[in-house]
Amino acid sequence: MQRNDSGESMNRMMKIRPVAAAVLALAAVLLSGCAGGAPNFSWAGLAVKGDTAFVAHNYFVSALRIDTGQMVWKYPAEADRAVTYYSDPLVDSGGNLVVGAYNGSVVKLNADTGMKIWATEGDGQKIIGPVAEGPDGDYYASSESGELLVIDSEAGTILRRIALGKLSTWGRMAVNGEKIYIATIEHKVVAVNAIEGTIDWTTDTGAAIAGGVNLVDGKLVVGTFADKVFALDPQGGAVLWETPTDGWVWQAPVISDSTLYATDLGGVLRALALEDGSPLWTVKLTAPAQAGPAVDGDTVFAGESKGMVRAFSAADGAQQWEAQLEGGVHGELLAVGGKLLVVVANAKYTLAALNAESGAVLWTYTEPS
Amino acid sequence: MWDTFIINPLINALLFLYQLFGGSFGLAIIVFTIIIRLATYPLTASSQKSMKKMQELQSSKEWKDIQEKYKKDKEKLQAEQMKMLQAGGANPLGGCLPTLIQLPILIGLYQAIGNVIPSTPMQLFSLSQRIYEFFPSTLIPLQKNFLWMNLAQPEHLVIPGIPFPIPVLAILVMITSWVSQRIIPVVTTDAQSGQTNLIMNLFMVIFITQISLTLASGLSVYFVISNLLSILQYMLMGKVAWRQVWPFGASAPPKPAK
Repeated sequence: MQRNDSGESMNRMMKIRPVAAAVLALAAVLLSGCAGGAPNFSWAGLAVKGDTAFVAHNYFVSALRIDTGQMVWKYPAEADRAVTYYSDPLVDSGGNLVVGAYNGSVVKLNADTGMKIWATEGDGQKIIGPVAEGPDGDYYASSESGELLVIDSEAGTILRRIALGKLSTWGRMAVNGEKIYIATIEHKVVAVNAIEGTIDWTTDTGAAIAGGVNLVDGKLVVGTFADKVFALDPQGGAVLWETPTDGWVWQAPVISDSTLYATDLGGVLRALALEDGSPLWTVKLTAPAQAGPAVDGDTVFAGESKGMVRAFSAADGAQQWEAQLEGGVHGELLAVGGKLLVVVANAKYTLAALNAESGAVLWTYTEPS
Repeated sequence: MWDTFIINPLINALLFLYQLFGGSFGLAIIVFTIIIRLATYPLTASSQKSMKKMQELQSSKEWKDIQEKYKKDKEKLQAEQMKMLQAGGANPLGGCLPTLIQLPILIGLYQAIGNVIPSTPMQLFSLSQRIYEFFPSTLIPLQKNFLWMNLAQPEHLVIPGIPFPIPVLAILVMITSWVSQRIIPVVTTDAQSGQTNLIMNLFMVIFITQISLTLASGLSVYFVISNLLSILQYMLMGKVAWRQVWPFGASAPPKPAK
């Protein structure tokens, strides 16, 4: 008996090093596998034009009929594994679609047909935030490297690069006259003179701003990771007021009828007076809210990272309905034509359309494989 | 479970060190590696001790006598050799333990580095759910540059005048991995096992280099520092086999027993 045990142990000894090597090799393969598309994954970008919604996700930009969720077209016809799209598409003043990609390229598409008008060469620096249309009709795209690319809208050539001092933008820019306002991950809000290509002013908010900036009624509004909402003066960047929140504010607050609505990762939806930031009402949600709120008439909608979508009265925050979706709600909610479009991540589908009155799920859209 | 007990503590440990070293993520990884090595030192030391005993036994006269005596009965030979190892206090499996223990740390570290330096909104959201509350949110975004490297990306050094980028860190990983494996004195009883040992060493080095070429360079920094510490440890123990480092050199021949 002893003889057999010893023999087996010796066999194990002889085999163990190849086994350890194989385990490490397997780990190496797994780790190498993770270096592919996974780290670049994010939630879908969303935009609307008339009765069509545009979804930018993974390898495709797709156009959908808002009433049925049926796909009208997708671009490109075949996936290019080097190019992924996650930023909210821009519907420009000419009705065309402009989308930035994670390889640094920008593509302009005919919004009705999905035909490519032009595409810039990517330089590998991600374009995460949506492209903006400047006062001169050119497009402005902020890349990961901290440059603001100015792109000729007709030819698709890069006219110039405005250095932002290595500040990168993940959210929506605001345009007013010749000024472009940019909120950055590196804590700063920057005003750029688009015509001259110079930086007019910079204001440090003390924490990252992921969700961009909104300009309403002479106030620039941003939410920061320092658990605050700020209103800035667009002329010189002075802080007009700041209000604490219950967690990181990811998306830029939205404004309707002089009221500002903001969600935070502490799981709170709050209404503030745009004038001075004073609180009007707050509602405690059940999970962190990374998605920005949406307002449609008298109703405010909020999505949670665990898939819950709720509708509240804009007047007092009273809940009207709730709907549980798969995965988590991320990005921006869009209320259009009696429907609420909701971007979902980590679910079988990418986008869900809910009845804005009842919260009933009308259709879901799964991106092309 | 994995996230709560492995990834999140690793992320927050890295954040703590990042804060401690004035916002240098490279320094945080280096210090983190040293701490991990110190924490696993008792295991490593015990494994090395066990290996040393095993090598002493394998080069003894008794070992060779048994080999000669039972050369026609392999099963009996293995049983007798095992008895000898057990009597001498050598654990033949002990050498693998530190390697296997490092595996979850390695995978966890890769995931932690990927999470700590997010390059997409989804990664940043994931990080926001993992950071312990006492860290100030002003830490975000982390400074991901260290020396010439972007620690969130695979490293390549562009040198003026050279038409292609050079993966300096992957080369360092390859060299240090090779040296740290080969300086361990290995007593082989025949040419075939020496050859097997060499092939396994090569196999490991190729895979670790492949990882360094494709994944975030922060992980390669971990590999290089960890390998250098291994080499230092063996040197301090005074038992290094520099002859084996040369790829085509033979493993140490068995020494005559005293």
